[in-house]
Amino acid sequence: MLRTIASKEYRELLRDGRFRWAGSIVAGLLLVAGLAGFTAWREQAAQRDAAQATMQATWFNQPSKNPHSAAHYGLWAFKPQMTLAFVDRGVDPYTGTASWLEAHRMNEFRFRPAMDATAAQRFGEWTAAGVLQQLIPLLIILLGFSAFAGERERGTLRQLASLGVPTATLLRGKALGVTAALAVLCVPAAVLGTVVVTMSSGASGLLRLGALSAVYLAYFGVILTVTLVVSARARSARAALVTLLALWAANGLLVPRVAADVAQAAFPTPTAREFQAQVQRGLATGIDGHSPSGARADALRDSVLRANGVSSVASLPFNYDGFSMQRGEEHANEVYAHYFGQLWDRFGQQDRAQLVGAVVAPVIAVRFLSMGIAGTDFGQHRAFAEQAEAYRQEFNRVMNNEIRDRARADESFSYQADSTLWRSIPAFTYEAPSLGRALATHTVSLVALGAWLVLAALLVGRERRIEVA
Amino acid sequence: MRELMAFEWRVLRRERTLWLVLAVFLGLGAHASASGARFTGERRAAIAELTTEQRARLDSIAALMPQLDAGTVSVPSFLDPRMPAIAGRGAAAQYAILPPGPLAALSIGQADVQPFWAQVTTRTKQTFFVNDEIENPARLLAGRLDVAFVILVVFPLLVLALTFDVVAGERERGTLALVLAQPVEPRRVLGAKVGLRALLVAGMAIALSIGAAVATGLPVSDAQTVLRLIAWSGVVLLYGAFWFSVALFVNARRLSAAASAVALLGAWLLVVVVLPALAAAAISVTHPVPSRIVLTTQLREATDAAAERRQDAVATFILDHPGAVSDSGALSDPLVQAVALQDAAERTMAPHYAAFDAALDAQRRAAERFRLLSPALVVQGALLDLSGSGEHRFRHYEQQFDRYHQAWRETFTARMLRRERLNPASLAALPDWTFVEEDWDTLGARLAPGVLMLLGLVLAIGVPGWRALDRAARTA
Repeated sequence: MLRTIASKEYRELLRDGRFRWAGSIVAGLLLVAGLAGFTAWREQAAQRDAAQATMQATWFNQPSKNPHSAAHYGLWAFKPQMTLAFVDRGVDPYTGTASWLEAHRMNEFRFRPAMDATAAQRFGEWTAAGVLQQLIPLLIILLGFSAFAGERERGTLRQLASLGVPTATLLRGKALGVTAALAVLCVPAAVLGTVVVTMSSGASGLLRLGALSAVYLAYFGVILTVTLVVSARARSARAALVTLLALWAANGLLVPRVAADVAQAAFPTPTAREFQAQVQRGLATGIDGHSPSGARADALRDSVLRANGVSSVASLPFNYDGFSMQRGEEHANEVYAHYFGQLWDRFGQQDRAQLVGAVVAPVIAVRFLSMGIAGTDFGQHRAFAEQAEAYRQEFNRVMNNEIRDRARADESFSYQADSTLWRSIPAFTYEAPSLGRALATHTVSLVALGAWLVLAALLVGRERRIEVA
Repeated sequence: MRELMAFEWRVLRRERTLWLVLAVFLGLGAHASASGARFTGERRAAIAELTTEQRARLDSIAALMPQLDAGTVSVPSFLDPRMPAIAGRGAAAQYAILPPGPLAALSIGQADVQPFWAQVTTRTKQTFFVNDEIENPARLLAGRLDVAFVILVVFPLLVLALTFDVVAGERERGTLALVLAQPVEPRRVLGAKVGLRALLVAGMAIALSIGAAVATGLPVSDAQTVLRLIAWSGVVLLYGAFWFSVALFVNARRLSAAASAVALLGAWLLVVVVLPALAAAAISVTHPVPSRIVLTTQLREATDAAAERRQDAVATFILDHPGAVSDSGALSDPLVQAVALQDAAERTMAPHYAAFDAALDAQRRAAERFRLLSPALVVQGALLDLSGSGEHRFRHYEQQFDRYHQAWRETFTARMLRRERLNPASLAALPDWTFVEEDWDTLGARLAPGVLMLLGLVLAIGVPGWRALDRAARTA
């Protein structure tokens, strides 16, 4: 029985010109988005790797110079992307792609790719994830809106009921039929994705691809259920279509935007100038606001002199400038970690606040999960920023300690080190968080998507009676 | 005719759809206006803060200078604002501000990913555009619900919701035959139906433009703003007319109401989603965004190379500024040497910068061409251009910025080489930054092809659509 219903639905859909048209358009867009995404990803990855290698070489090949000059010379860290970023670029176009690592300060990321793209691209460009999040649901709606409402209008639903087909079987059969029709489109896409991912990133990529597929399957399941339930309850096919389109527009176009505005209003971020001022105040006075740097510097010097039982910094067994510069770095590190941490936590709060919108728009939860799995969410941007910052702190520490341990008191800034020192610091490498850790930051999204699935199952279970006319 | 339209209005206002459409429209319009007003308000506040800071800084330097001259106060030489190298590198630096566009509150556009100010110093250009406003990237990704978005994406849906069953509905209910039996010419009945809906659509377009402008507090007394607002309203009307003619055309096909709804939805998808996606993909593939990462490594290599050939760099610098060097002491000045090295690096970088800018300009020109693929992209381009939140006004800003930066560097290099000391009078005589808006000719020339195309489409679809609908309406 189930198979008969499913295969009838499937065949009917495949023979329907509308589905063939809409399906081909969505498949075409998915292909264009995937190809364009992959080409851009490959090119950017090559550029990035070359640039990072050049940067690292300029650091290693510095001529002999003062270690503090070397710290000022610094280097850039460029953010890499996982393979799946070609499916979902996530927030990457809107966070910077590069960070300048230098002495004394932690810089914000620079070069947002979105800044140099055109407005036409921002409006029109679809990533594969965009197609999956917005257009496949539209396709599901087109496939399913008349499943019941159409049969009711044609009067065939009454006949089916008279045959004694249980409602639940009918619903499941129709769902299966639409799923099969959709699989004609999605399975080749998934296979293509698997081939691409296997070729460029191996097993770890496949795990992520599997997780990504699971999220989208769950999402499509929710959309399909809602579509069929609305179709079963609507007065007419037209009413079903209008209701579903309104839901679709709310889900994909309106609620995510409104949710982002509301989240910003509920948890405002400081303006760039306010943030700068906070950091400057922190640097000048210490985090608690009670220790101005002049007094702190004096206290530090006095305590070091006392501890070593000498009366001037020149008679210390080490170079005091190197020592105090490192202390200064450590204070600055704390200040930057504090304020950047605060700002980034605020972004996290906003993201969770946006998820309130997932009550009406499951796409919000799916979007976060998709980015998380593709390695392009803010959490993984933050992980990169923190590792780059740790690297910056490390090379500054090595440079300052070199001065502290090797330079005489009168040659703090004339002491020369050579490339042995530059090369003693291993090249910067970024260790991306594991899938588990990436997903751990998206538990709310997981719960939201799970809740939608449960709701969908409940809705299907409750559909015991369908009005036949 | 007025009587017929009044009848039609009585019918229409009993429909739930109309009120739903209007409610959605009003709600979104209000949210979008509020959001745009907040955005420009924040921008203006930040700009006011910058201007105040700059005023205070310049005043305090001007007050400090005579005291330093008199020797009543002393500062370390690397903080002495009378030294041109110090003043030019930061102390006296001015903010080059890009004020919000004339209709900024109506369209945020690219403004939320473009910097809107930079402090111009004698340093290299690469160090400037780092003042991104803090914004949660997830919000930038979600996009803004501004008035332009409501017009581009939601407005067509509302137009289609009002017009998808002008005739089909009556035919399906069986009332068309009754109407045709009345002693009124069918064309007049149809005219009333279509005309009323046209009025509603036009009303929504005007409300979205003028209403939003008033709601966001645009200075409607300013002639420039009013002119742009008129042009903006014209574009929105034309866009509404485009969708209206598409609806007439589909209505004339004698489809059922549901089928005509699906067909119109297909048209919406094609114009708002599919064609823009193809256009965007075409832009990305033919003109990829030039890489700032590559530019960064090039600058690094150029700077290193200049430092390695320090003697050459300084020598070239002197040759480039004949007669400006007042005494040999200037040459051993580390600040002069730093400028010479920077000069050498910039010379190496010049072709790279030029190539980068050329690639950006080519990408922008390509975008203008590919826009013509979709009326939605044409309208987007026009709205962003008119409101000043697109890429063209920003490029215009960057070009003025480059000239200003050039002038700033030249004046400070010359003073530094003459070993001049700045005083309050020379401080006041430094080049001032003012942003000049694009002139109407340039703007108009850019808008014209798209607007003409849209007009052509309205005529090409609307006129045959109306004729066919007229014929179709005579048969019940």
